[in-house]
Amino acid sequence: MSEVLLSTQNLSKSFGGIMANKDINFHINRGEIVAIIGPNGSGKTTFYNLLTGITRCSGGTITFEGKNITGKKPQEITKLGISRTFQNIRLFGTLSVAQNIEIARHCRTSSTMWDALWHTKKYGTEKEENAEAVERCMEYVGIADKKDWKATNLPYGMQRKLEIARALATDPKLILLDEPAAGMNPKEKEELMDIIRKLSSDGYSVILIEHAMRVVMNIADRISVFNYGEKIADGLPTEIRENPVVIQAYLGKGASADGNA
Amino acid sequence: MAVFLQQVVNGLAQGGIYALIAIGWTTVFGIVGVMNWTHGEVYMLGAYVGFFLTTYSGMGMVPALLLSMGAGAIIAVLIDQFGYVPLRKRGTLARSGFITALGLSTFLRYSANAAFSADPRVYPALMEYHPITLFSIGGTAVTINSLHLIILIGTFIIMVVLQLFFTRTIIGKAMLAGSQDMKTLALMGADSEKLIKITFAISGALGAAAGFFMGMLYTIYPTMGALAGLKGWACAILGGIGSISGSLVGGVLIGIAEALTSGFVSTGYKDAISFVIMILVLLIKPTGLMGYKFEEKV
Amino acid sequence: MKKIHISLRKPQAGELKANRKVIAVCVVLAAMLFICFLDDFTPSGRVIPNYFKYVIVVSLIYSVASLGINFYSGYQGDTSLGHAVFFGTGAYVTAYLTTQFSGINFWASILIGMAFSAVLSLPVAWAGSRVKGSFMVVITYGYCEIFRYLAINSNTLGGTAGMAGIPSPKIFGVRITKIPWLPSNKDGFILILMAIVGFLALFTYRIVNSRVGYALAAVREDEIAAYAMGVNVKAYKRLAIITSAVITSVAGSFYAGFTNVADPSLFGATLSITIFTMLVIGGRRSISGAILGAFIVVICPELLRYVQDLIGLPFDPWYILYGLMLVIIMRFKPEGLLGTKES
Repeated sequence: MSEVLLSTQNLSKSFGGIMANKDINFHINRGEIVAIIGPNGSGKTTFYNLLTGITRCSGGTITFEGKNITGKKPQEITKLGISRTFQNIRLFGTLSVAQNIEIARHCRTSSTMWDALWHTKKYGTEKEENAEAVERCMEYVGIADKKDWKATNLPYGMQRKLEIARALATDPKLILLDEPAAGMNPKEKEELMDIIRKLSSDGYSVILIEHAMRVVMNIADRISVFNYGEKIADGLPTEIRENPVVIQAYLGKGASADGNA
Repeated sequence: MAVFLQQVVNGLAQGGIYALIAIGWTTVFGIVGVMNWTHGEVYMLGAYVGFFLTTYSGMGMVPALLLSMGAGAIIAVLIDQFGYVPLRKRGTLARSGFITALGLSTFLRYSANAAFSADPRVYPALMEYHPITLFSIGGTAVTINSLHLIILIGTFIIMVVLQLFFTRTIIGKAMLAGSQDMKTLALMGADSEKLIKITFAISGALGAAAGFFMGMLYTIYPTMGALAGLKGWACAILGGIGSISGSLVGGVLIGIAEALTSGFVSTGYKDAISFVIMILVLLIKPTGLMGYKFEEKV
Repeated sequence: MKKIHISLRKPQAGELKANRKVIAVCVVLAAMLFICFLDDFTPSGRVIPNYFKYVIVVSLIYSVASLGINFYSGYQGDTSLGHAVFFGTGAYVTAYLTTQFSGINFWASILIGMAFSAVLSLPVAWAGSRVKGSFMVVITYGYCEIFRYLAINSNTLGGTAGMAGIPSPKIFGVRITKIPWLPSNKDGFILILMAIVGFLALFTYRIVNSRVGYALAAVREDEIAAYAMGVNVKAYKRLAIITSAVITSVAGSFYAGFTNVADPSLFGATLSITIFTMLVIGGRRSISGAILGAFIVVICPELLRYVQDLIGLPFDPWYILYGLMLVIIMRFKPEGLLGTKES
């Protein structure tokens, strides 16, 4: 029934001898929400950087929609349909919300300097399509009223949402969220969970790195646990909650999953 | 072979001067994070202070050198106070610091031009100079000019004092730490403004010393800082930004490279060689010979 | 049908502001046309001194250069103290070709100069992909100084004296300085350069608000995020420097064609700094600012020279004030006179 969208086989990355990621076998199905949890420095963000091509892996393969995409350049990977947000927000600060999202349309448009100079038909069509996409993405995450705001002037939670909107505007099949709930208040966290659920029901696959256990336990279909660059467990939230290896490695002896919410 | 070694020796003193300039660049760059483009002007003003002291008050070499260094320190601190402090307060230093430095440098250079006139000046003879034979190869003697030797010794003494300051005093250690991570240092309770002022003072004193030595070797003129400043920066890059011993090595290497270029290629390309070296180093090994690596976290 | 739709779209605040700037540019250009032809309508002859027209031409030439560097130091965001390489290349290519080969006219030499400049910009792009910020500043500085030394030491290029006797350009066989229906020998240059500046202003405006301009903005703001948005960062950096170099080269060619000489200082860091500060004074990423900056930096020293003669100053006060001006602008209006404020 469920079709594998992305999988990695023995994916590894070493930085000068230190294994930041070691033999990671991971997969996500279409429409699935998979959370990656693990202590700080366990290689979660490195894993994202490998998937999106920002850092090159030292070994292993990445398969997306049945094709091997290992070693592809970041812009090619975005075009294939993997898009991401960043742990330390990386918006285009001096630009407006709408412009931030329009930039993300880059990989879905193709007009050149020539088109721009003479305002060719193609240029007009693309501008219009982009405007629609921008509206749609802003609506999707609920920041439509902030259209002309400068990105840096947005409240923190909204900046995180804008990052999601921007990722969405690249027309991805898979969205990688890197700690989207960090710095959000409880209400914003609720809204975030709604957005992620909606993404999933609209057919997007979502991988989520998150420390907020309440968010993870509530929305993830499946959870992978990283520790010291290795994937130490993988399973349903209820299984992970009970898994003794996870409890020991991630939460420490005697702690319970709920305690960290 | 003897000719080659003679050129190498000829380049040493010039290299020492470049090294002094280079350390002034790299300390300020490490602490404040701005290319202090005015450094060449501090060097020029130091040379002029030395010129006035030795010419009009008949001061000897050592006191004149020390007073020039003091003047250089004051000038550099004033530059910080009027140029960079307002930007630091507004938090715009990173964005507008470099252009402010460019403006200040232009201002100082042409003010000096107006005040001292564009005519080159010559230091009075501060000491007798004569060639000293170092060794000879196949009958040809390799000599060093006694003036060059004094400059080398002076440079060396300054370097040793500086090294002791950085490794033995608490302020020196704080400066080294600050050049790695100023923010954390401030969080640890260090008075960052005071540290910055001391950094500028040291940078200025070194720049002025370099200017003074340069005056002993060649003529001085108001626009002398433009080229020398950049060459100092080239040495700092070659040696590795943030490394004092690196600056020394970089300075000496570039001094020698210049002497060899004018000896064996053409004097016309003497000034270009440092730029060629600088660009090659940045492209091939951006950390220089002894620098550390900066990496951006994703 | 598309066109109608676009025109019906409500213009946004930013666009209106930008439109006002475009209007301001038009007003300035119209004023210059007036300057050109005023003499035609005054029976007694010269109202506008030829020297003033000379200053206008030089300002327009530098406007082209300033609009050129805007693509690199403005929209792509890296400081360049090396744009004299492209200015000098344009000037020297025009100088060399028009004096050595009778078959090549000025206009062809512009195109060849552009091609040379594009090639010479590639190392800068390559360097830019390896080092950043302050280090690019010194790389570009060193790059143009190296070219200056090459020009000084080259006999083919005339050494320190450079090349003289560059013929003024011809249009349809008529020398641009001797067009019969224009009152002075500068007016031909003024008209052509105005057309070029106008075209470049439109070109820049349209590119900046297009997919390409947005990609450049992304590269400027955050390279990693730009990659993640599917922007080929290296390709766009290359595009920015090539565009920038090619435009600056045109300015250089016109400089050679107008002053009839090309000397090694056209490759020098001093000129590079001048071109860069024109943009900074006017406002990075501002089209009108780039033009205004060029006019300020060209006209002010000429005015001051007049003042200097008047009150008998023994030195040229321009550079002192110029340095002060940069410091003051950076303190109180760091975005430049016509730039948009950042956060």
